[in-house]
Amino acid sequence: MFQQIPLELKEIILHFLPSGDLINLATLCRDFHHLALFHFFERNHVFESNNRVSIYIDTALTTKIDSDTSSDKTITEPSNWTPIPGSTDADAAALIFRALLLALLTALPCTPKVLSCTFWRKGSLAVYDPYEYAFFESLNYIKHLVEKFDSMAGGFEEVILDFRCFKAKWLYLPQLPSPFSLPLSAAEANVCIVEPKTPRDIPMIPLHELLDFITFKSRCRRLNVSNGHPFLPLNWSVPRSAIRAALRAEDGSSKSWRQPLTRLSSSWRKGQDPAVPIQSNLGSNSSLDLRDGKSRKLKGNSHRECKTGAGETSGLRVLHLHSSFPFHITFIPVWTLKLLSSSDNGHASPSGIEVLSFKDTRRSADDWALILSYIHLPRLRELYLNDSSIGDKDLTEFLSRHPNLVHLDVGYASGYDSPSSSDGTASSWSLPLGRVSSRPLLPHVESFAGIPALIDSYLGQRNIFIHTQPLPSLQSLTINVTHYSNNRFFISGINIGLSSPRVVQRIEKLSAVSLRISVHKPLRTTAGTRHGLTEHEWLKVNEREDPSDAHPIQDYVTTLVLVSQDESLFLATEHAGPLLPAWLNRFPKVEKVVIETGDASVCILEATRNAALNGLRGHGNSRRMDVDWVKKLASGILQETKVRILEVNGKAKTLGEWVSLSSGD
Amino acid sequence: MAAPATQQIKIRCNDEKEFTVDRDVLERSVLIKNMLEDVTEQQDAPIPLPNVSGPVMAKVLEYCTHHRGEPLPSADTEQSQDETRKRTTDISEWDQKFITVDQEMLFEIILAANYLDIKSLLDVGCKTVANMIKGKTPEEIRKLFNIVNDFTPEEEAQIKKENEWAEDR
Repeated sequence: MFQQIPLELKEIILHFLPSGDLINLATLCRDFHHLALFHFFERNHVFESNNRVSIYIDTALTTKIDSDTSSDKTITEPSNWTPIPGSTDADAAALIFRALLLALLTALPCTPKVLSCTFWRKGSLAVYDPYEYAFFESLNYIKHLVEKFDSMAGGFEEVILDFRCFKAKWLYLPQLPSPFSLPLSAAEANVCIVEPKTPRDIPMIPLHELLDFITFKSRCRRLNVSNGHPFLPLNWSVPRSAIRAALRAEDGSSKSWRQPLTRLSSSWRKGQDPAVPIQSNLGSNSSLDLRDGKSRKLKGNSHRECKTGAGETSGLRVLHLHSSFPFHITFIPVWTLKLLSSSDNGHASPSGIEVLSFKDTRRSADDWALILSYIHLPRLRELYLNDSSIGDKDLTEFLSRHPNLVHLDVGYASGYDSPSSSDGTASSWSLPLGRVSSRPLLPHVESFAGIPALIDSYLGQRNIFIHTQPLPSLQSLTINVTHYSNNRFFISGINIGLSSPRVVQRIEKLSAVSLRISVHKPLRTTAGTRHGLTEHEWLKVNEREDPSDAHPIQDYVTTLVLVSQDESLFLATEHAGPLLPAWLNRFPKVEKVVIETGDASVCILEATRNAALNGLRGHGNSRRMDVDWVKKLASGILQETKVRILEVNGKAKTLGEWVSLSSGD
Repeated sequence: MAAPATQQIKIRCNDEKEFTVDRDVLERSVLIKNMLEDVTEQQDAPIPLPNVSGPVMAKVLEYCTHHRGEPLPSADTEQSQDETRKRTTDISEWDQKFITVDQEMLFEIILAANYLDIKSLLDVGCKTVANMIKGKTPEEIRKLFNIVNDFTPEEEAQIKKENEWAEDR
């Protein structure tokens, strides 16, 4: 009889049903399917008009948490979402997570493969306290979501956890990630969380439990933990004693991963091959052939491995840690090291991580010495160490434990001060493995990116590698040069700092040489850590400027990458003016120019900061560096080197977008 | 103003069953209220209600008698109430007892309330149905209301997947 009653009566009945039951009703039959879904989305939707976005949420969905709210809420977003200090916008926006995530997202077909979670927090991340930070409530839902996708749809392939904060005094919030722009697309489940003040009595799980779940119990292949504020100090110190104490305090049967890998390193020093005992741990079905990419074939099996294997084994293949969160003392022993280390004695399962990236971790050299000593990833093929303070000895020891590396990027590792002489010879890089002459360092590395001093050290050290060529498989090299003096950027030549004949000899034979020039205002030039060349050195270079005295490396550069995280590049090109074409002519073999307007997160912060200072106006506003500017710069290059614009991302309205220019006819 | 003497109104249902009811009881129904207002002179002929059967009308009258004298929502508030109609499914104790009937009678009451335009009764009926659905699995709901699953196997597979996914929130 229910089916026979008139539509208007059905609608009244549906009106009294909570959204969750509407979903059930939608599965009864065709009639109710359309009717119930219509009602569901009538209650829960995002409406956009005239730059105002309204979110309609059925608070009945959140009754578990807010049992006292009885009416629906409408949240209205101003055009660029200006949270007024003291308002409850952020609190209200937090409802979006619960409602939209749980209802809309879970009601959609299980097609998303990427779960992207952005955590916005009022105030600083620096005062993070694992048991006060308010996102635990949301972590529960994320865990739930991952769990559901795991059991129903094969799981998320990638989980991105992005921690950001905003201060009430910043009147401008970036337009990019807002809780109001939830793309309910098929490929990505995008969640943005603005945390309200969390009541104490709700069930919460700490972050490391979520990380643990994603890492060891879900089918997730890639995990990306980042925070969008590399400029904010998050220098949690991790004293060795504290880590060791925490490691000792931890109970559990498999303690082997908690042993630092000194034995392994010493075996390497004795000239033994560390890969052999480690590979034997991988199990019979893990035929490792890391050189030609066949390890991808392991992915099919590895999931089963991770589910059925004794103990906790991670299914992760790609790990990006672009945050200091995982290096908080709370996480290091219970998650970070558990994941990254595996022992050489066969008791712990080795991690299957193939791609590892560290960035903005804000660790000190001492911390790295300790942390790296625990890390061993036998399947590691690609390593990105874009962090600032890894000591050369620690790095080299670490690399020596990973002979299967194919791609190595130690872009900003800086175990060196400024180059000791103008020809860039770095004396402080020394390779403790120099005595090992029987095997080359990093035998499989095909692409290598680093600062000149490191490249010089690895490719051109005169005192070691006499009998063997280092990095014998190298095909592609990226030289990272950083400049903090933007006015002289195009006026002066580029002092790459690679001049030793041995290095030039190697570079000559490479198929691809990229020069990656980062232009910065000296934002990060804090005391004692000055990178790049000083003003004085720049002048010296300028004085020596002579067409016949061209740096040989410049002749081999095939790709030129210009990077700027703020308006420095803009200012530099503006100042360079007519010199720009002449400057570009110094690179005769350049086939490709890539202009990278910086890391999105950095740009967001920069834009925020400038907006606060200049009210979104004025010369210093990095908003100027938009698509039009990139086009302008591109046209400057276009005239002289006949570069064709292949791709300008139409959505590139923000600084984080890339514009790639490639040569053509 | 003194209350007018209670006027008795006759109604006739579709099964020829006739009721004689106090006017203020019958005026819970907006339909009948409007009819009575339109008809100025007193008529002895019963008002025909072709869409309501005797047993159902008896139930409806029971409700109206119990709630007689309560203020009727005015046209204006009715309009706004429609939009902000509270989602709460709380039903008063008497109403709950009153509406504890078999399913066929429940839907008959809903239909009658809709026809007679007795909003409060309609709400009670619909809330009751909603409460019957709440928290039940689709299969339980199908069984309860004898709803035929008319999805194709492919559709059902898809929907089942979505449903399992959506449940247990």
